[in-house]
Amino acid sequence: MPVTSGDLISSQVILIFIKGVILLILIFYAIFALLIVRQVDLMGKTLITPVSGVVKAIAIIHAGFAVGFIFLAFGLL
Amino acid sequence: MFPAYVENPSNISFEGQDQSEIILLLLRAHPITNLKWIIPSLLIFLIPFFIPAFFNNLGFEDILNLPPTYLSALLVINYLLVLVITFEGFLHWYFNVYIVTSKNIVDVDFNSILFKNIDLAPLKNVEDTSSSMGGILSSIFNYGDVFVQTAGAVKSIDFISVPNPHKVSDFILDQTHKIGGT
Repeated sequence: MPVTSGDLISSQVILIFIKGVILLILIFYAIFALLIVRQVDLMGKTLITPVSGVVKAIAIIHAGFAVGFIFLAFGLL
Repeated sequence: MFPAYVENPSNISFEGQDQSEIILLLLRAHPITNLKWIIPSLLIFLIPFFIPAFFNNLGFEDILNLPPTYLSALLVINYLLVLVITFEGFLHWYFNVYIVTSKNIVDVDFNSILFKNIDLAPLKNVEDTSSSMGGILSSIFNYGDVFVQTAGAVKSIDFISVPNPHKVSDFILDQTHKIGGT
């Protein structure tokens, strides 16, 4: 039976490799998201506006999602 | 909600502001300058819609035979990228401000993710101001740069892409004259 490129892509080794790449990207993203929280905190202290609190809340939620996606990807893939 | 030119803003203060110091003018880059991050984020947002047709045309349609969870994860990464470009773009625009107070001129810059630069010059040190507008978008939307020459350690403070540059330039000089009593 001939092996198609579709079979190759869904082979276990390739899938593990893709999983590793996805997890690596998500880990870097989470680090970046945590840095954004720090940055927003710094910005909010420098320029105090009514929006600062909302922006900080968004940054924290965003970082939470970024960390959550790592666990989600680790569990699902 | 997010103006770029505010005279006598209320509910806004900045780090190092004195009790007796009043903010007279708050400036940001003109909102149209946000196109430089809005357009890339829109393009990245649309990428998943064109990927299947793109791979089909190239004859790599088997790439799309990945398990649905893997495709979903790639889709999530794509939209996280859109989210971060949008959020960073907004933060950069919103918090990079130029402030004219009753005492000082303040230029707050967040050039990169953890780099903050604040230039502060007393109004009494302002020697002259100039403004310039160049380009199609600048002419249409009336924005440009204002350059403030000072006599202090900070040689010049540049307001980049602010709305009504000529008016801002004149405003700063008027305030300087008021302080100097001329």
